[in-house]
Amino acid sequence: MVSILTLVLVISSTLLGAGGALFFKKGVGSIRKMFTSGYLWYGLFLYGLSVILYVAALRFEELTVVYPLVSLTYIWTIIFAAKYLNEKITSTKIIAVSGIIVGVLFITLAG
Amino acid sequence: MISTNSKYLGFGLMVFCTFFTSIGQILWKFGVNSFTGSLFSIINVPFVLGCVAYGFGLILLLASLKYGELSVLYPVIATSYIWVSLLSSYLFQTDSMSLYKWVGIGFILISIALLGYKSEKMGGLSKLSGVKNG
Repeated sequence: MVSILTLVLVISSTLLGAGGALFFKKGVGSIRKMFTSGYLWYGLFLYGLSVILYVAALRFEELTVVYPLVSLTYIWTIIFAAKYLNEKITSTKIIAVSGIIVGVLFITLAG
Repeated sequence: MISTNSKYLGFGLMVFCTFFTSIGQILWKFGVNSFTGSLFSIINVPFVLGCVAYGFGLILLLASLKYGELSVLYPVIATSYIWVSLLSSYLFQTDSMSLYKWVGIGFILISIALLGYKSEKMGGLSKLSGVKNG
């Protein structure tokens, strides 16, 4: 069984990764704007934290367990984008992300 | 209003991005293999090249996000699973392709194609001009 610690680490990592992506999206624009607005740096900071927690999780658990869980990022991204960027949650997005997660499970569990 | 061409530009840049981050991951794998334990062995050629590939991938990610919704473009990152399984089965003796892996690749490709096809039809991209300003 996956330990609670690993789950907490990986889920926190995916939430931070999705948060980083949200800031990246908010930060894109002209090169000047990207470096002055701060969003890019917040994004990089969250992404960095996300990677650290991911690597920490890998110390406790097999890659085949951790890697599929990383797909949770796609779910959080859709929720964050709906909440903070007014992007619609459509049935297509839900079906596509579900399909991606099934695909990732096939690839990682195949070993 | 973002045209259909811009949408494919966003998708293309994102796929390109995952190609570079996958190369980065594989280079890191080579780099980790040459760790000897001392701190300086961390800085080896494959590891540094992996960082360069990752940085380039990040630039492509940022470029891609200009051309579409985050919730449409971000899931395209799942193409990295395809690159990693194909490249690692080619490069590492221990990894090989199997029927399950091909089924998984099929699921991911169909899902991403669905996102690209439907995002235009459902008007998901019509709000892009607003996103670009904000």
